[in-house]
Amino acid sequence: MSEHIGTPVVVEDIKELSPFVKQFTLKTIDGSELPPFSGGCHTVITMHSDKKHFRNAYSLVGQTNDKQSYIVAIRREDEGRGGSLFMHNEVEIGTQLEISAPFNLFGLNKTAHKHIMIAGGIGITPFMAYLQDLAFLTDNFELHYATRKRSYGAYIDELERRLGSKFHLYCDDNDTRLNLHELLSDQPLGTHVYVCGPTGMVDAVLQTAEELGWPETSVHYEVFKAPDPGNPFKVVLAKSNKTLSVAANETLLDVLENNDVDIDWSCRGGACGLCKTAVVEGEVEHRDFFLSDEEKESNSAMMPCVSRCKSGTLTIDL
Amino acid sequence: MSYDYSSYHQGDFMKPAETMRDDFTFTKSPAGIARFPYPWLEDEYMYSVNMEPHPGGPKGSPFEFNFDVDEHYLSEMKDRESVLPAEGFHNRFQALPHMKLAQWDTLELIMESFARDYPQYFSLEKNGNVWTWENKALGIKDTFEFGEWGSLPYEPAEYIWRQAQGDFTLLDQRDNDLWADAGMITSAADWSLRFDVGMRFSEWHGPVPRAQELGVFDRALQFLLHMREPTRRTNWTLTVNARQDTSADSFDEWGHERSEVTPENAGEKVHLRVELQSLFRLPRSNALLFGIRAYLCSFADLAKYDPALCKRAHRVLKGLPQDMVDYKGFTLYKDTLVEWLSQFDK
Repeated sequence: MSEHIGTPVVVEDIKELSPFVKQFTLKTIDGSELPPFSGGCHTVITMHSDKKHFRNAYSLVGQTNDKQSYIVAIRREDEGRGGSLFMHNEVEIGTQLEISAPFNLFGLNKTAHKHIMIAGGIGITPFMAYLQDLAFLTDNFELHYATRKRSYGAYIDELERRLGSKFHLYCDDNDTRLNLHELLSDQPLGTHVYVCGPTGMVDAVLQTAEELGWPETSVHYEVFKAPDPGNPFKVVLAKSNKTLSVAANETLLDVLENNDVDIDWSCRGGACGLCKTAVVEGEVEHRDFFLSDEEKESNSAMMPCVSRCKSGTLTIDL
Repeated sequence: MSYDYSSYHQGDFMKPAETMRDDFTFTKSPAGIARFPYPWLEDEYMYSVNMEPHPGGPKGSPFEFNFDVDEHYLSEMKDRESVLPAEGFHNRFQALPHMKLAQWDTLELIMESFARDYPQYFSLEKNGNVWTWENKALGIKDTFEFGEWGSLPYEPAEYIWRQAQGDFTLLDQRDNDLWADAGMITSAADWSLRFDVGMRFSEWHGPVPRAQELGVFDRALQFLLHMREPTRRTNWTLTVNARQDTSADSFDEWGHERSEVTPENAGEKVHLRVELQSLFRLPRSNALLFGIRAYLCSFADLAKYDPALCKRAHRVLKGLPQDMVDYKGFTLYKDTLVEWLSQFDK
């Protein structure tokens, strides 16, 4: 399981893109080539601290020319589980990390006649890689980027230069706001919309598109945020007869891994389904996008990467 | 019985071109028969999601490398060329416009695999995006710009598929499904790419009996949507004569041969046809490359090598449910073949 983890890399370069966002260039240690990847791919970075390890999924920003490095841009989440803080505060040029093979849960629909990308904040990252795919496909696309201040955004100068009138920036500095209703109500048939950003923005796009009668299959989203903290709980592993504690700022998956429980995973965001685990007893607080409503109600399975427990103790079939 | 074929891929292993139509001069070497991927592990057969990692297998076997090249390379490439028009309207090569990136992915994967695994026949030199490809077996040498449409004499996938044994399709991944949006099919087991192109997973599997009810396809689709490492499975059917092209498009050329099987010629005429199906996740496009490599071996050849293979074939075919016999297309001569095979099961 999870053989895809663990290509060792070294941090070759760090750039500050904004007060909250740092860009890391990760290069293979043995000089071997990294595979090309499709727009929307993520990699999971494993970080080792003295006490434990962190694993977070980050979008790959774009292919480098030397093929020996990947680029990720990471926003500092002060309230998060610690992975992004570790990247911002502890990682420096020369730090060794491990990355997983790229995996795509947010790819372009290449049959679309027109593509509309909507990014909020750090949600710009997957679209940086979309641009290299679009170069093979079509000129018919727009990128809409909302950020509170221009200086808080990432890659804005580059996008203005590369995309010209296809790029639309919304921020306090130019006193503009993204009007979703206007944007989505006047698009030709065959348009696909992609949104990546905070939950509120994603929900607003989904809701507006639904109200305007967009087909569900033409609307694509990726929620860009680390799993929220929650109440601490205990977990009983039915097969191995172990009891573990999950703290408020940890995920169940983190705890399982830190206790050497073998479990497969990929997105670590409740979307891919790989870490699906059977529940024996206890009430699950479902936070994933993978299980159907019926499955969630039946309380028979859960996604330990994001979901938690409402009843204090959870027994799972591991 | 065993035959050492571990050095099969050494040196010059290709035979001169033989025919796989008309006078059928196609023959197999002893090593070719020994390495034939015989499909049955039990005396009974039923569908399953029989997928395993690929490549990996005994040295010299069809499972050794990403793409197997064998002694029939020149025969199969010549036969393929005869059904592909040099230009114009294709039945056998299809590529929808959004599959360009997947086409480049395909070209790269096959060229790199061939050059690495069979350096005596193939070489690839890269100078940035300017690549030089040489295929000594077919006398091809081209320099082109990777990613630059029109820098090769054919579309990228057509170019390399004309030089690779076996059929291929490219599956686009979207809407939580897989779509057969490109391919080159010149050895189909009675289906047509021209008909199937653009279909989704459940649609192109529509005609298969039983598997739907067994839930095989739902499980397989979920597996494939998340697949990253190369994977393979095998499938099988029967073919009359060593004919490569049994696609629906050319049914008029081969359909009647199914009525020519007699008790005297069944062993020579009926070939077990095993498909080595391989799947590769393509990095730039996130598409899947699906290889369908067909191996043919007559039951007479199998019997000469190891009669136990025909004994098991007798049991499997005798017990096969009628709807699967009908679907696989050998209703007309099944009884004749089973009777011929019964001599090995006494």
